[in-house]
Amino acid sequence: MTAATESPLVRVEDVTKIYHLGAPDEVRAVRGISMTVSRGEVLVIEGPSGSGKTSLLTIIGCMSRPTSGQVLVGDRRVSRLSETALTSIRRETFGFIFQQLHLIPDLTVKDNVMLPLFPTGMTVPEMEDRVDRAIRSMSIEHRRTARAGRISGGEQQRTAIARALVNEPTIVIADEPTAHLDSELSAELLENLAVLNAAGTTIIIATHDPRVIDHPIVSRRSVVRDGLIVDETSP
Amino acid sequence: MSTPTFFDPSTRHGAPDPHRSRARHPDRVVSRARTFIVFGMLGLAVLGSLVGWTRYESRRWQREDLPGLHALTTRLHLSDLALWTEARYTRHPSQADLFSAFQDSPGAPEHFPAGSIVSPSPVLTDPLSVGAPTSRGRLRDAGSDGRRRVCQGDARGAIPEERSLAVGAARDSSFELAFTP
Amino acid sequence: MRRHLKILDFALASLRRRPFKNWAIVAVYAFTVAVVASVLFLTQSIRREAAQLFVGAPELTVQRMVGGRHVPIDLAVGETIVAFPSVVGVEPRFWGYTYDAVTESTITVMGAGPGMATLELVKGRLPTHATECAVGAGVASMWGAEVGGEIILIDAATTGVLYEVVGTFESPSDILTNDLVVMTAEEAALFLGLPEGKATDLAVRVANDNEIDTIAAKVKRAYPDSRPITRSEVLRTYDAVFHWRSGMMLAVFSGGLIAFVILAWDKATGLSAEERREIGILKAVGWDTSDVLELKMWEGVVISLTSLILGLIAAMIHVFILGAPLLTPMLRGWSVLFPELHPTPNVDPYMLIAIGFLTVVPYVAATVAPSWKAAVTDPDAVVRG
Repeated sequence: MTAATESPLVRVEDVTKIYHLGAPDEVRAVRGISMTVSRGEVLVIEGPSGSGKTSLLTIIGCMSRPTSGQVLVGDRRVSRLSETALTSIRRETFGFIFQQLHLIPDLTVKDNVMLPLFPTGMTVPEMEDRVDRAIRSMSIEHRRTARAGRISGGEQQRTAIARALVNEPTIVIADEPTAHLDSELSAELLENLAVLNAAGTTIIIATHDPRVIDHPIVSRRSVVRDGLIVDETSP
Repeated sequence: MSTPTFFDPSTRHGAPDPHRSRARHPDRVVSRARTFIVFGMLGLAVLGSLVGWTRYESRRWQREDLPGLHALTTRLHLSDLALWTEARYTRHPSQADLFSAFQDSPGAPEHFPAGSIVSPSPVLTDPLSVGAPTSRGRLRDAGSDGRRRVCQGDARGAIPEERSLAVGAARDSSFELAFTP
Repeated sequence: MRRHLKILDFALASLRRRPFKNWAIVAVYAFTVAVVASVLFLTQSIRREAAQLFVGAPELTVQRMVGGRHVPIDLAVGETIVAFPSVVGVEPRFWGYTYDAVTESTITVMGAGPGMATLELVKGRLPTHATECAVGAGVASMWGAEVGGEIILIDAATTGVLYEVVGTFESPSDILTNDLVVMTAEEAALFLGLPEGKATDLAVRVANDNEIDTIAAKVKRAYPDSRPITRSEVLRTYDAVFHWRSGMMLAVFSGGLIAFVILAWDKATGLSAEERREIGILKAVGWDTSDVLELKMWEGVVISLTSLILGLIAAMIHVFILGAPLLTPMLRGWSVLFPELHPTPNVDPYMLIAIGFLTVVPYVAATVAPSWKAAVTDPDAVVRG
């Protein structure tokens, strides 16, 4: 079965997101977007700052609820689920790599990577195993017990990626993942994402970095401007 | 075809991780929680032991020291603890009269800190106490010497016989004294 | 269960990130608990001792009052009282105080009526002659007196009188006898300057405890200027000692309360930006609201439970093993003769539970409550920075 014939992993239907609704500082970040994400694809959402990329990512990734419209993950309408159910889906399905990384600086690299596993039912050995593998895959074993606030920007980025992957998510969402990386590390990151994708993980990347936009792993591009998708291409 | 997991191609489902070793996990998760629980239980055990010891000591005191103390109390008719010797009403609070507590003036500074520990005996303010001074009474008409005597009521409200009797019959009328000790 | 242990582990890791701050909180909190618990243990111990000691007190003590003042009573009153049914004996008590200017101490002088001279808690014996006395440990220590030694006391006529010390009271009785000088009854009356035919008050022994109030009422009727004090009233007096409304207890508890309020205020005035951000990150990586609140609860429990256990252990060691040396200066005030405290170890488990409840619950509430709003907020706010 190819990606084209399979039902989409995520379906976004006429979704809007308005911050501070009704207030003088009301912001319409997403203004009616409909799109799908298919299993196994690498989708790049490109657009300048303030175009609504991040808001769209948070809606897709079940991190915020749309003001209107609906989101389906698999067959489930998640936009109206309870907070507990939403959190569960988010934890099991998605792995996030945030633009600001959002590591806890006083925690060690290992504890940061382990964060998503604490509320799960995994045993301790299973958790440690996962964390070890995630850390090794990002080549930061040597920083395992270092505090996240004291390592280099590149190592922090890799820690953030390891944390996003530790739950072995179906979909990885990355918001400007190359923002803190030099060319070499950017290339390494994209290589890792390629391996991930080859293993079947779906990847969504929001970026305006041409190194990412033009990378061969990208299977589809959506251009977002002022809260709307203005163009979609498949290279 | 089974797909390799991202992290390590060799760790397919069911395959053991050759790199995994408990010896390489000195900072094991949950060891902190277990350590805390162990120390907590230890602390509670120490506390429990101390409580148990106090019970033992209390019983020992009752068994060994209390009889001798009772004998002393009975022999010497003791009624108060010899704790605060600064004033009569702190040394013998159970025997103290109202006067000694206010002998300097009602507003006098307290004999700190004993006076702030020993409040006046509740007996002094309890109207049901036989020994407490009471301000209520029933007024009798004047006796032969013209003095209007107030009969002291007892705890049960009965009018006792006066020691010095009023001469002649008297009509009872009652009123309450507006006296505030 | 496993999940809870893991969240507890994370809570401990979180606390370890700020070791100095958290250990300081534990130290202050444990100290507060120790102070309040020490006062409670000591006062409860003394109250319980008094309750058990004074079951041997006279069933009735009869005083005479003139002008609201306690004055010597006629011995003849005792002759009347002894004729009441159920009264098995009336013994005049000759006791009072004398002040020694040299040592600046006030001593209680007590006359020992007829009876046994040797007692378990008397090293030596009670006096049987006018020139003899037995002294409490405080007096013995102050005067350097021991059995076979001598002391000089100034009597009511300002005469210095020499007494031979024939007995000293043993340590377990310090709380009763520390400042006592016991003489023969006749000598005590003479020493105190009591008028002939009068005593300080009368100790009345009643056969049946149920008759005590009746006899007291009879005495009061027979002698309206008398003041009968029943044994139950003596016991009630010591129930009222260390009452929570007494100035000292209020001062101690207020101090403890203020310390706690300061701690709780620091927590309850809201989360710092860093703490809010951390909660947002936890939500973003898949923690539930309940997981986050459980984390905060564990943080509160760890601190308060640790403080509680350390504070209680410290209080029990301080009071029951060391004899409350830190509280003694507060209690003794201006007393020159203050007994060495050997509080009978006596802990009410309900008191421990109450202290535990009051220590842990408010602190945990103060830790969890401010996190509530952040915990229920969508993690979106964090992601957007």
